[in-house]
Amino acid sequence: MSNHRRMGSEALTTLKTLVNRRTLLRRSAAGAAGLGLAALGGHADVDRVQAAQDGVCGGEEITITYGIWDSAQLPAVEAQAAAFKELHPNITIEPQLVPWDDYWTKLQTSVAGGAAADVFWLNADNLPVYAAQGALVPIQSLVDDGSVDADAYPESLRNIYTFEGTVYGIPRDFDTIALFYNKDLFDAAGVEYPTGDWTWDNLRAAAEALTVKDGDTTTQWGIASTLELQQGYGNFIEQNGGHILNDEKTEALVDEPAACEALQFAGAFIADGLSPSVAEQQANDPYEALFPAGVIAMIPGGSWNALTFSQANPAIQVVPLPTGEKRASAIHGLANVVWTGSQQQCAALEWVKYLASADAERILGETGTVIPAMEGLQEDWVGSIPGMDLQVFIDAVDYSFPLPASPAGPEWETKLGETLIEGWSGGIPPDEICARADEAADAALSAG
Amino acid sequence: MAVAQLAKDVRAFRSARVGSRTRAQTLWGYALIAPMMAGFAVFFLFALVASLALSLTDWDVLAPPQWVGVDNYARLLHDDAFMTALRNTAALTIPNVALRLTLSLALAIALNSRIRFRAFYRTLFFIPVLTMPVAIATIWKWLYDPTFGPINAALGRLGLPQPEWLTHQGSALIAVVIVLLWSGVGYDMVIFLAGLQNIPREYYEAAQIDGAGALRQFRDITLPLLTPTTFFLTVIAIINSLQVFDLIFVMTEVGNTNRFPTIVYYIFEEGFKNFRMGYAITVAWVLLMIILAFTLLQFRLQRRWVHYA
Amino acid sequence: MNRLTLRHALSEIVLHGVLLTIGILFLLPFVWSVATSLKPLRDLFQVTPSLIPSEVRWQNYTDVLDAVPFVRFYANTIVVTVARVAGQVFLASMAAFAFSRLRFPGRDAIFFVLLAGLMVPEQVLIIPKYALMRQLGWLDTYQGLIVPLLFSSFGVFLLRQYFLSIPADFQEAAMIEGANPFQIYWQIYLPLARPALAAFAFLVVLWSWNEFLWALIVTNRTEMQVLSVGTALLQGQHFTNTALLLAAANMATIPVLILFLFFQRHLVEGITLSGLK
Repeated sequence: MSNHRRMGSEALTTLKTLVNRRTLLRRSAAGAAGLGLAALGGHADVDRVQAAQDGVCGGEEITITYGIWDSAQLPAVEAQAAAFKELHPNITIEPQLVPWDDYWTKLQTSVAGGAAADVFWLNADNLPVYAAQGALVPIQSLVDDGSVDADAYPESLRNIYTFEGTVYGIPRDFDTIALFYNKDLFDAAGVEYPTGDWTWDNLRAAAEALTVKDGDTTTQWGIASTLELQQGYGNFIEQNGGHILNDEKTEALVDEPAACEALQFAGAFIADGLSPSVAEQQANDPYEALFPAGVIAMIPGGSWNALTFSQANPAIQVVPLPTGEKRASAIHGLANVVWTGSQQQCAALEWVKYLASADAERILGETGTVIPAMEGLQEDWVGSIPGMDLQVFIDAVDYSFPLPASPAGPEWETKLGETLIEGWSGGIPPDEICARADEAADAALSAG
Repeated sequence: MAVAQLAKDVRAFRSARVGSRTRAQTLWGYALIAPMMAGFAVFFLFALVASLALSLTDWDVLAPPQWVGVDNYARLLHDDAFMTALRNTAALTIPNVALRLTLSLALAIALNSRIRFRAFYRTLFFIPVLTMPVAIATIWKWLYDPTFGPINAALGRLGLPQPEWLTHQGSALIAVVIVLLWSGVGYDMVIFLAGLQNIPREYYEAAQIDGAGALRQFRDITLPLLTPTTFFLTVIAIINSLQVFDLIFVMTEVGNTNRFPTIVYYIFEEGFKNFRMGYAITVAWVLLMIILAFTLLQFRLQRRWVHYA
Repeated sequence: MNRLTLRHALSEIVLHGVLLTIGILFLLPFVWSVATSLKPLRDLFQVTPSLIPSEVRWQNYTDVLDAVPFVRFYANTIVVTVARVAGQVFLASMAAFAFSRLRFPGRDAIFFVLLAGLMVPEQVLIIPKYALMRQLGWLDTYQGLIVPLLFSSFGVFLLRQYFLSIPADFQEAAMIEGANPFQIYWQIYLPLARPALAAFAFLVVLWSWNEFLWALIVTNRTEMQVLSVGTALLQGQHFTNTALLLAAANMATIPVLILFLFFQRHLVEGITLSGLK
């Protein structure tokens, strides 16, 4: 456990001593020089001395490696790196792009092998695991001393990156879930468009009205009951007043009446033929093919789907998810974290501090690729697709719930999903699905 | 007389040098394999031995390993998921190896005859080896699509049942084996072709003169003289079948789960998705033992059926 | 005589028919990948794959060059592949010669240990090997990409089979002449094995060109990436422009395809495992 930590704190101590000594020397030298030069009346020289004083973390040339996974956001990251360089000329940020599918394999290998990036992106699933195993440097101190304005971020988001009371990451962006629908298909069927006031009953009725069959084959489905927790059934569970995991993240609660009812609601779409079957969703991704191609009328999707959908089919619009017992929408966003094994923790923390600032978040907003997490900076993103009401996703923050994650890893979610998929393919009697899913998730949570 | 004497001299000369020649040969033998074995030791063996130690630990990758002795191995015996993966892997290995060798040999024979456009066909059947996984997955997933795919459409028109293919364990097995054959047969075919083209044509001509038909020629000339190639391809095919991973990754995943996991897929899942690297390595060692056993068996048996020059 | 020719012609037509029918299936994904690489964005959201773009967009290919340092990836891949091929062919052939033609204690046991290299999935050993790279300071270097992959159990197995079917007379004769084993290997067996070596070399090129996991793990900086990892960078987290991805993939495959067409002859006559004329 302590190898990484020990190494980290040793480096930190050395760094601190260096910083103290050098700053002391520099300050005294600068002081003397400043006096001397000022006596000679050279303003430019005073400025240069001032600049030398501003060299943080020892003032020497430092490179911080920054692990990211989305090529679409590389321009934004590079813009942030450039802005940071202006502030701290002696620190260079080197983004390291890894394809999303392989990011986690590489991250684990590099952490275990002792050469991970200094700062990197992390998501909700992995935060508890990495924090619990001591792979991350706590950022609590930056929050406590005010370097980072934690209150500028939505609480549900902040909670994702707090583990056992300590903050480990500052959210960078966020996404919420809403209901996308295809106007043309609604027009063709003569059904009223969805509104923000819809309930579960409205949803079900519309799905029925919008499913079109040609003999035995379905040519159009009313809704996609997707197999993911974040976009699909997780929202239904919370909307019905249920919960996915308990607060301690030690037990699954999908067997409780409210949650189970929600799961049955989701599963009924598939069982009754209103949604593409599991087999069909496996062959043809609803988000990449079926919905944009106009074969499904409605689909719960994330804010990240908006751009692709609008480019694929201008008839696609969006409204808030329907209300069950209450409103609920899953919120998620990735955060910047610092590796305990980093040899440049001082500079790494400076970078994270900058990334959490309004400046950096504004740069994110301007590129329009993601929604900045900091409150008040969302207008750029909202206006990025004129034909679509993206404000829906921002409003959803008010009734959002954070995606649950356990320090034992994301296996519980895989097992839960596995059971649901098995059940919704007809492999488990419908009234046993909730119990079996709960069992499977519990087993994974305790396996650790 | 003089010739006999010369022969005796040569023999004496040879055997006199046997002693020192053996010593020299031994040293040279080690010397010539040394670079290969040295690199192999540094970049493979040490990691393998380290992994054996790691299989006796509980290691969640991010923190140092914790010793647990043989617990992992004991756990394997009751692990249903492992049993499923083992069963899937065994179920696909047998048809895959048998069919692959048969088909590639048939193709090689067809393309070895003097038919036109041989080169074109060889390239044609080799192309899957050069095709991108994303293209393979897209086309085959479409072919197997239960609603929109042509296979089920054809089956429907013939009044036959339309399986779910990739999401159902039984039909997924068939589906995966077909794609494995499709993507591997060209590779083996080319190797068989080489072996075939080096059987001296005189043997076939002689057999023809003796009145042997095509089938008899195949059985008595082609098959026996191909045995070194067949042996090589069989060993490689079994080793590769038992380690199928990439295809499983792109073809049978749905949601977050896999409907037809193989052993290597299970290893990857346990090690890199579920943070149980110690256990994953244990599974890998069990796989290694299985493969080793099969290979050893084949090498022992080769004396009985493989004809070297 | 006529009936015989007729029967031959008919069977040849049937044969061609069968081969072409199966052949279409083999060609389909490749054709699709070429067609899709020319598609505009809106063509990518389809339920059934189509083989004809709504508009032919050659620009996809230049877009790839703008999106990632593709030429750099190419250069890296060529450097790394040439080195790997040269190293593997030399080391494997030398060892294969020794394993097949020389006698020394433990020979077969050592060969078997070498075979174990084929029996372990690469994911299992990646962490210790990575740690070693870090210790040696070989991360993000060419040597890190090349050296650990020079030791091919497959090559030794393949070439040993080949050498075993070369009659031992050559070796005997050379030994009487007083040649040492290295000379016998270098001056006699290597030239005799040229077709098999060419075949092996081609297979190594094919493997090295597409090698992904090691390159992914050992390199961090984008300038050090090879084609396999570099093209994967075109995948976004939520959306991948498949047309661009395939354009990149097709550009990456072209040299290997040409190599195959070119060496097809040698390849076929190459892996000769039964006798010499």
